[in-house]
Amino acid sequence: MTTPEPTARRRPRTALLTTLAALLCGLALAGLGFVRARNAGAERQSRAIAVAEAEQLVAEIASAAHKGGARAALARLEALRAALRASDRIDLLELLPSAGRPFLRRYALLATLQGGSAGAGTPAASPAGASPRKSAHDLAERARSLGHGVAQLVDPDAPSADEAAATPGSPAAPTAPTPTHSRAGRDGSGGPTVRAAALSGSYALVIERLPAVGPAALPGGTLLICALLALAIALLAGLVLSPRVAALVGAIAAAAAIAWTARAGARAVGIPEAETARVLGAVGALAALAIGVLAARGSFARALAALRAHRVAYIYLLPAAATTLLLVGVPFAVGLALGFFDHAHGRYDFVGIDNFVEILSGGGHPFGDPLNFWFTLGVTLLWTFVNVILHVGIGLGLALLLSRPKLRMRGLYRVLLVLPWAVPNYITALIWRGMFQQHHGAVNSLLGALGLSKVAWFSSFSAAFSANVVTNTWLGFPFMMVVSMGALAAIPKELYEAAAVDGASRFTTFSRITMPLLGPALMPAVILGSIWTFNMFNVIYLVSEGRPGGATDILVTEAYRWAFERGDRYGLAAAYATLIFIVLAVYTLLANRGARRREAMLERS
Amino acid sequence: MKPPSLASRIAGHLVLVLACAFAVYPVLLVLKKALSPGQQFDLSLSPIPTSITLSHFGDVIGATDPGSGHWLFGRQLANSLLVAGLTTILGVTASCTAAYALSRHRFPGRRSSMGAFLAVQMFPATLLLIPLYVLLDRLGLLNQLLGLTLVYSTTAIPFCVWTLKGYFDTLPRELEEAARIDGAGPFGVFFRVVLPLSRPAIAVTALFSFMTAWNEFILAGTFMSRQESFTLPVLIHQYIGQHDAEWGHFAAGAILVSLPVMALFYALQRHLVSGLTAGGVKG
Amino acid sequence: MKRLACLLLAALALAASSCGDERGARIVLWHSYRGAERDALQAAAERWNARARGAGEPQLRLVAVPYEAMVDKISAAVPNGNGPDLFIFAHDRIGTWAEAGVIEPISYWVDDATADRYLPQALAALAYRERLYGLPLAVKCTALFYRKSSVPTPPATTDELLTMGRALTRAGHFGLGYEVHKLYFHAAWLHGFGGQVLDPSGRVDIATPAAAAAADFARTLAGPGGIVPAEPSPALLSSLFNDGKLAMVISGPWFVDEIAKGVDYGIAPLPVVSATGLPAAPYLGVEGVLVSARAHDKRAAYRIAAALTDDASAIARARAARQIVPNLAAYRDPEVARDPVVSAFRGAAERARAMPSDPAMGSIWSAYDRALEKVVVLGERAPGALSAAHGEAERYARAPAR
Repeated sequence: MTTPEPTARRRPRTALLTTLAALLCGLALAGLGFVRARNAGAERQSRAIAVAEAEQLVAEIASAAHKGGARAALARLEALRAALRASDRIDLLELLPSAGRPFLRRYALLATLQGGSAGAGTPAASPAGASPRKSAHDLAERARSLGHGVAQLVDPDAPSADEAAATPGSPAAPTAPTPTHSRAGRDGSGGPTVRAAALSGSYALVIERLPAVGPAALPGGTLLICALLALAIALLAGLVLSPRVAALVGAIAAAAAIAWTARAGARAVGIPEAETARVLGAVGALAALAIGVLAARGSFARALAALRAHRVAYIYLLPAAATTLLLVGVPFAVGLALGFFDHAHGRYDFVGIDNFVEILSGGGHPFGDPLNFWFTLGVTLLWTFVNVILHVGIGLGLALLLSRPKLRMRGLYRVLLVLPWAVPNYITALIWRGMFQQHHGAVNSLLGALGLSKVAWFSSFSAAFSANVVTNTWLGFPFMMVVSMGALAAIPKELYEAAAVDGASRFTTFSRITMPLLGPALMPAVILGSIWTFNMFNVIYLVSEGRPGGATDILVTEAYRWAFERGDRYGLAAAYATLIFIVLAVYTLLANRGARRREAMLERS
Repeated sequence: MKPPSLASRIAGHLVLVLACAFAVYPVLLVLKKALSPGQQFDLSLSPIPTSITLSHFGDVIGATDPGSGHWLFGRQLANSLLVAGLTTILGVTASCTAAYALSRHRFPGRRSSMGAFLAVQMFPATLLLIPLYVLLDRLGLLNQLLGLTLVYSTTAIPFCVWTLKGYFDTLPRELEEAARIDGAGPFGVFFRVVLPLSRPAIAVTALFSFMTAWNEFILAGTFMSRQESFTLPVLIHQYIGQHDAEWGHFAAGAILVSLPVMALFYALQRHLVSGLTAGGVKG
Repeated sequence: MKRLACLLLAALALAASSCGDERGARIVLWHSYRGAERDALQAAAERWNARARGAGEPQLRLVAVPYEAMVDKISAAVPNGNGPDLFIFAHDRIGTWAEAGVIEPISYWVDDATADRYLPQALAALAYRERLYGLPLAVKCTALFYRKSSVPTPPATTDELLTMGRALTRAGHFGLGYEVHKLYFHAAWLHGFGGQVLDPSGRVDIATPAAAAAADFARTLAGPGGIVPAEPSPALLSSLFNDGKLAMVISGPWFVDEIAKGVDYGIAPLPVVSATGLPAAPYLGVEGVLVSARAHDKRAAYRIAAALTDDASAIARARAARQIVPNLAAYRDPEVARDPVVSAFRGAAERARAMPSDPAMGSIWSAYDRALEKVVVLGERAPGALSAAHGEAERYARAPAR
């Protein structure tokens, strides 16, 4: 296919269009980052105002405490509460002392912002989301968890951390949160002790000391100048250079413009959260560059031409491709990206290739240890290989038997043989695990009946691995059988008739007619079957549970354990998944190449 | 082909009977559990129940939502049929056209799109759960059977596309050319000539698509949040608790769930044998 | 094809028929109870709804979610704002959820009268880093089930357990059964030997002499020449126990449903560890009603949590579903006090030690289970296996981002 070379007259247009496309695409990404950063800035700003007001209150209460002790402080607090109800920024929480339960002995008052709309004129809701008017409690908890600069108003009279003496289990009298009551408790021996509980514990006022940030304006001037500059460069390049080079130059200029604007925007917001703006700006610049490179290689022109030439083919392909791209492609991209992050307690941090380094280096486990990646990879490859051989062998063999002419009870056999596929494999996998039970399982009883000794199926690698394989073979052969039946049905009967006329032996018929014609139809099932077996989760997880010592775990169960059983390390799990993907991609490439070579040979012969 | 000799016929039956025993025995144990009273997981070897009760089946079929009194089994069976049926139709339709394009047309991006269909199967699905959840949420498809159907279809499409493409490759092109000479357009050729010839492959892919949607539980349990919109596997998995499980109910549910699959397979299996010669070439 | 289409249309009609009954203020609660426990919870919800209708309170709507889907569902739904307002789950995950901002601290609303309703350790189990995250609905822990025909009086010490078990173990018959290679069950011995999994400051503390002694004891029980059958899966234990081939089983309240009718059994607390004189304290799991951090009305959600866990509800649940409720008042109810299962487990719960809810536990369970398997099944030496597990757990667990 040849790309129609644009005429000299149209040169600047190509470069300009590319630059514009690059600018728009990049700016969309960078703009997203900026908006997010600005929202974060707005929230910070309003929080900072609330903090300033709250600090004043603390000072007031602290001075009351200084003069008149804790009771005075509390009285002052009570007095202030009514006034504060009116404030839309500050809310006071009530006092709630509770004996012997540190988790209920809460801070006395908390002040923080109310509402998220403080970012003067920003219509966007605060990132956290839904309700514009959050409860003070909610925000206070969050402020606490952020833990920036905590100012504590410690009651000077109170004995600190004294409540442990209260005996757990003794039903204490309900108390009202008034500052002056006494409460009765009992110690272990039952003798009554009276304690003044009004102001025990410490009352903390949580304040975030955040720098106040002004509402950041989009650096429009910078943007305009940079964009115009990029377009001018593109125009100039278009006039001087070849169209492809010009397009590339334009895109580079656009990328630089975006990166510069994003930097300016991030600086204008001026808070740590603005990092998002910078990162997304960089991504936007990269996207702009990519557009340039593609344009320079003439990809767009070729794609357009191809679209026009093969309209029907693309229409046919569209439904399947579009849904797959959207519903699998997007999560898939997220999954790939996740491999470069570390997840801890709901937060993701970018760690580069650390996860991959950790996995590929074996993560501190020696090579023969079941937790070492390479060991698991070996087990997985063995697992896939053995299973696929057995699935195809048994499935194809049975399909051939079932395709014999004049076979009696064909329908019954077929329906019975497809049963393992039909019954939900969760329960059948567990049934198989039961059948491998050492003393009472069916398998060992059968071995016993045959005069063989019992096997402890889950105490050695080879036995546990075999148990998994048997179960998975049972689960998997019906599918291959059905596929083989479909493939056999596709072979024209005339060929067999001709072979019979020629007096060909059964073996010759099979090797010359059946196998070569079956190959292409079975190939997809074999490749996909290996992919599914490679990622077969249920059998490993339910039958051997990785025993002994995780040795029978395959990569996918290992990834699952990292994600859900070993401290929620989603990033590491995603890196595992990415490696699984790479291994399978290499395998598929090789398998396809082999298949194509065979196909080519067939066509030649 | 000449019929096999008697000895070979007997040997064939022997192998088939053994294979059937291998295939059926664990299922019989499930059936036994479903029919025996009690909820404990049984370890005994005999597949014949000592005493029979239909109460597990009755309980599963009669399951109602204690809050609203809705008949859950019926609802969820309907949901399952709907989702699996739509998945089959959507998956097979989209795959047929795509596979035809991939088989008959040589266009840029053909190889890479074939590769892409395969590649999306390679990333372990368990780890895509949360991104997929967020995506469906953004698309407004959460809590909707349509969303679930679309997800299942995309899971089934790669296999269907590849299988159908492999099958289409074996169909002789002369037939299509003849039809074209007779004045059929590209779509006409596809619908009147290619599809009728491909019944075995369509049957296989239909069964596969149906199965993909029919037995799936984790996605259905995660993406649906109302009792009335769960599918049957979710209902059945409700019998598995944190520490223990109602195995009698679960086994009965598993048997019930596999019945429609058997029925579908039974309906489709005649298409698996009637091959090229019987179906199309002459017609 | 036509028939299929008809069937689909019918299904569509049915599926569409009862959509759109979402009206009025509702609080949605997800749970994964089954059977009697589910019905008892439903009854409690209906009591609330009846009361709420007149009082202008929101209605409560229960959604039963399969247990296996629950964690995924919560982790996917809540951060995206789609989750329930309330959900019921065992307390050992609250650390992770609290750190990830999935659940809401409720300390502020809990008054002393409410707090005093519960067994103190049950309430304390639902606290994480000095904040309370839920109200306890039910507790689960393990105890010793024994067949009265072969064990007239349950063993009071581990030495007695061993002697008794050895006398009862012969071909095909076993003295004791429990899932040896699971930390959940092993924890009782670990505590009895004075060991722990996390030290009070939350650091991994696995490789200790006490832990090694406990693991060795587990090997004495379940290793070669022991009294525990090989591969003691729950299915094996219940069938052996029912067949009279197993005299004692360590399991939780759920095991009651596994016991065949007509088996005369008793439930006793786990024995005292002879070597130390300490009771074998099993792990206590507390099923709490937790408030989602994205609940649309947290105050109302809390009020419902309080109502579901109040004494009247607890008594009803204990009576109807034999739930081991943490409410102290429930055991003053004569019918509940008479129930041998409920009162036996209440006693066991009082000795039990709450499972740690620290997120670090997420990395300990599997590492510890593997160490136990190595020691008990594969015969490795305990200190080595435990220190390997220690290293593993330390490597997995990272300090929470503060």
